Parts: sequence; structure tokens; C-alpha cells
Amino acid sequence: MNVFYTIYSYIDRFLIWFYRIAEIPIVGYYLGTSVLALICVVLGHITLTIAKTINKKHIDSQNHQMIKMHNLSLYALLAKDKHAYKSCNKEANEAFGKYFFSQLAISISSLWPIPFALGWMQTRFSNVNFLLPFHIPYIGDSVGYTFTFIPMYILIYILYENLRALIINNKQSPSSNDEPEKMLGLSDVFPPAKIGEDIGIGH
Amino acid sequence: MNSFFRIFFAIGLLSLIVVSPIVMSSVAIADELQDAIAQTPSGTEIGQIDPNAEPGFLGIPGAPNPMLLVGFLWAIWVGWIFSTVGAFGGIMAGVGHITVFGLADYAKSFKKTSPALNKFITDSIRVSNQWMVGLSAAVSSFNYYKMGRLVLPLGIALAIGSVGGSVLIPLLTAGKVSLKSYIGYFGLIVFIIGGFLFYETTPRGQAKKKDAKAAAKAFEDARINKKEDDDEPTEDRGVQVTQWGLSKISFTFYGIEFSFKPIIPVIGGFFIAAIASFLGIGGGFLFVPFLTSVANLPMFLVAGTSALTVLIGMVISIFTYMLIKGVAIYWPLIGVELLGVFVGSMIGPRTSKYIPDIWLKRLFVVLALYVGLRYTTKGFLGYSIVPPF
Repeated sequence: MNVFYTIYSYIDRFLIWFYRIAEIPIVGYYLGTSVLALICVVLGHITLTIAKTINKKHIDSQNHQMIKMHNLSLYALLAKDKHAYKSCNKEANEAFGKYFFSQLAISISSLWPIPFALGWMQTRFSNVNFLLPFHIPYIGDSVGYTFTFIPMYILIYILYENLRALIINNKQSPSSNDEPEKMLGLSDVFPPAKIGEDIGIGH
Repeated sequence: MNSFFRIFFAIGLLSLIVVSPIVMSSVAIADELQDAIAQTPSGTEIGQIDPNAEPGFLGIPGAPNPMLLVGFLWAIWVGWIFSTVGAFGGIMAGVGHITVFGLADYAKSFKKTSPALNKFITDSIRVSNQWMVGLSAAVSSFNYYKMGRLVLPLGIALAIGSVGGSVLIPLLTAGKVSLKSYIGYFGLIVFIIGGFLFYETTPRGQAKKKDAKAAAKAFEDARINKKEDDDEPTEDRGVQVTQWGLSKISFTFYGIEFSFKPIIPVIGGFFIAAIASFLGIGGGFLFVPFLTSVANLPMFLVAGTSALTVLIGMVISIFTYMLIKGVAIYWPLIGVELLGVFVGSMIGPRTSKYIPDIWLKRLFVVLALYVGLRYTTKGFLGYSIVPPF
């Protein structure tokens, strides 16, 4: 904690400057928090890009196995082969488990700046209370700094992603040498049902 | 998915995340911890707080400062597990918070002198576990939604089942569970999970897996040789329930008959969510095999919906902990751990090709046995029967 307090004291002067731009304190607070959120989004995006690039082959092979087995399970349904359906579905779920947790680990790489940002905010704003418009039982009349930061982060993230898509024409290259197999839905394998005929779970 | 569902999902997810921190009143957090510290006797002996000491964990004077390097290295191990075996990463994260960072022993020192502080630190450990996994479940769910693999009504239905466990357990247990009991129950659950993993490494478990693999391969080969027109679309579409009952529900899914006992998904969903919110472990790895073995749902329905269920369960649990008991978070430790998981997830794919799956599972069975033995005996007997004693 001492190490971090030292680090925080170095970056504090830089970060607090944004909070002091506006004369009205609350405006300055939201402006500063937006900038802090933007820094978190950018840093997170950089590490996410690095993670995806380095692990592309591994993730793609897990994804391919999952899609292949899932599609086979649907074809087994079409052929009314219960044993094949259960076997392929089991393999697909096994592959999904590995793919899901790999994606989880990579997703984390985009979120690491958030706790550090909240840690800095705690040193500055832990005693600042934001009054609620009305009293809420068990909550009280006010909330803390995390109430403002997290929604701000989400909004900045959405804006950043949309802006990035507009500015950079991001064309994804094929994940393997061949055309990647697409995950099928039930409606891709089975013909569309007549209205009222299908109770249906699926897309 | 049409634009209505996209907007609905985006607003719903944003609302959930907004609601969670909106109730984190800093006044409540400070009061809870300060009250617990005030009840602790002052001094430099074990179980006492020296008010002049440097603040450590949670800002408590004299508390251990979990070495960030230790946290980082442990999180690399967690990230490696996530990217190789998959599951079990949450348990390892919990082990880190409990044992590796010395927080358990510190909390235990207050068992007799300040039970309130003992329980406060226990709750903080549990919530710290969930914050890490909850953040990642949020991003995964959003990605699955964008890929169109999330069936929103089904996901919400499953999530509602898990809310019961996620809300009740924190309400009933927050502030009431000593670290000793928490460690004991943690160890028991690890034993059970280790048991499942062990079964998969036995000849019988391996035979089932080989059978499934062989059947899948045989079907794949047969399909390659089949003519395209040979597959005729079935007249039986979607789900048709053929039998309703308290003891059994049967249905046909595109012409194939399945059945399950309805009480199992209700109890199973509740217990998985309850375990997740009690122990601070995600529960996601329990949901997937549960949904496929009980309901035989196709993978694409299970995948995104289980991620959403984990997410909602996490958000509700953390919301409830923060709301009711005002638990504080040691942010720098979480940040360093996230960085460690990132590094571990880079290393994992590079090592996985050299280590067969079965040996990875055997490694985790040994780990589960060790962690289960240590925590169960330490929790319920007061001493560990495996080193360090």
C-alpha cells in the first residue's frame, strides 16, 4: 500500500489538474472523472489488443473446435441420432469451457486500470458523498465515488469503441487458412417453422 | 437479434452496473470498519491494533500489507489456470486471498479479541474474490451478446433462479461467518470439486469421455460421406412437452426425447448461486455441466446464458454485500492481480501444447486434495493436518 501511495502521489498532480479545470466543482469532478475513465479505456484497449494478437492462434483453435462440435450436434439432431447429439454436445461444451475461461482471462486484460483508478480516487474522494434525490432504506441519503466512476467508464468505453470503428476501418483477417466455420443456429439447420407451430427455444 | 433486444440488453446491463455502485455509500463503509476497529483493544500484542502503526490492508493500522509482488505472481498462476484447464481459477484466486497473502491469519488473530473485525475481514475477502470474476463475466456476457449467442429470455429465467441464492446468502451470512468456518466450508467445496475432477481421470470417467469423442468422430466421418440431400428436415420442431409432472418432465427437442426431474434445476440453480455468493467463487464452471447434464441443452444456449447468469449473480451478491454491510475493497491488490491474470493468460497457451489434458486434471486433483484437506481441517478442527501446520 505504501508503494502505491508513493505512485499515487506522483500521478496525483497530473490527474487532479483535470478536476480543477472547471470553476464549478461538480462540473470539474465529472470532467476529471471522464478523463480518468478515458485513460483507463485506452490503456485497457492497448493491453487487450496485445493479448488478442499474442493468443490469436490458441483462441482460434479453441473457437474452431467449439463451433465444429456444436454444428455437428445440430446435424445429429437433424438425423435424430440422440447418442451422436449428446456426444457432440458434450464435446462442444468441453471446448466451450476452455474457450470461455480463455476469453475471461483475456477480458481481464482490458479491465486492469479500473482498480488502480478507483484506488487513486479513494485517496482523494473517499470522504466525498453525493446526495441522492431521496432517502433510500438501507442505503441512506448519499453515495460514494464508485457510483460516478463506473457508469462514466461504461459510457466512455461505448463512445470510444464507436469512435474507433468510425475512424479506423477495422477489417478482421480470417482466423485460419480456410474460411472459418460459422456457428449455426437451429434455424440454419432446420427450415423455418410455420407461424404457431414451433414452441421453440433458440434464436 | 433485433434492435429492441439490443437496446433492452444494453440498458439492462448498464442499469445493473449502475445500481450496484449507487448503493456504495462511503459513509456506511467507513462507519462499519471504524466501529469494528473501535471495538478492538489497542496494543501491540496479537489480536490488538496499534493506532500509531502504518496502515495496511483496508487501511487498518498495523495490518499486513499484502505484498503486491506475491499477489502478482499468484495471479499469474490463476491466469495460467484460466487459459489452460479453464475452471478452478476462481478457487485459486480464493486461496490466494485467504492463505497466500496472509490475510486469513491476520483475521484469525482477532477471533477472540474482536469478532466483528474478524468477520469484517472475512467478508472483504469474499467480495474481493467476486469483484475480479464479476468484472470479467460482464465483458464476456457482452461479447456473447454481440455474437448473438445469448438467448435473453432464457438467460433472464436462469438468472432469476440464481438471484434467490445470491440475495439470501449474503443477507443471512454477511457479518456472521467467522474466517474459521469460511475456510472449513471452502475446503469442503474444494473436496467435492476435486472429487468430480478425480472421477474424470479414472478409467470409467476416461471411458465415458473417449466414448463421447469416438461417437462424435464417427458421426463427423459419416456425415462427410453422406449425400447432402439425405438429411430430411424433421416435422418435429423446437420443444414439445410430452409429459408434465412434479417428478418428471419429458419433452422432445426436434424429434428427440429428453426428460429431467424439475426439482433438480430449481435446487441446483439455487445451490450453485448460493455457493458462489457464500464462498466468493464465480459458480460459472458449475453451471455449464449442470445445464448440459440436466437439460441436455445445446451448447450455444448454455454458453452465453451461463455467462449472463454468473454475471447477474455476481452483481447482485456484491450489491447486497456492499449495501447491507458496507464492505471495503483493497483496490491496489485487485489491480495487481488483474495484471497477473493477464500475464498468466499469455503464458498458458504456450505451455498447454506440452501438457496433456489428463495430466493437467491430475495436477488439479492433487491441488484440490491438498487445499481441501488443509482448509477443512483448519476450519473445523482448528489445525491443519498437512504442512504448513
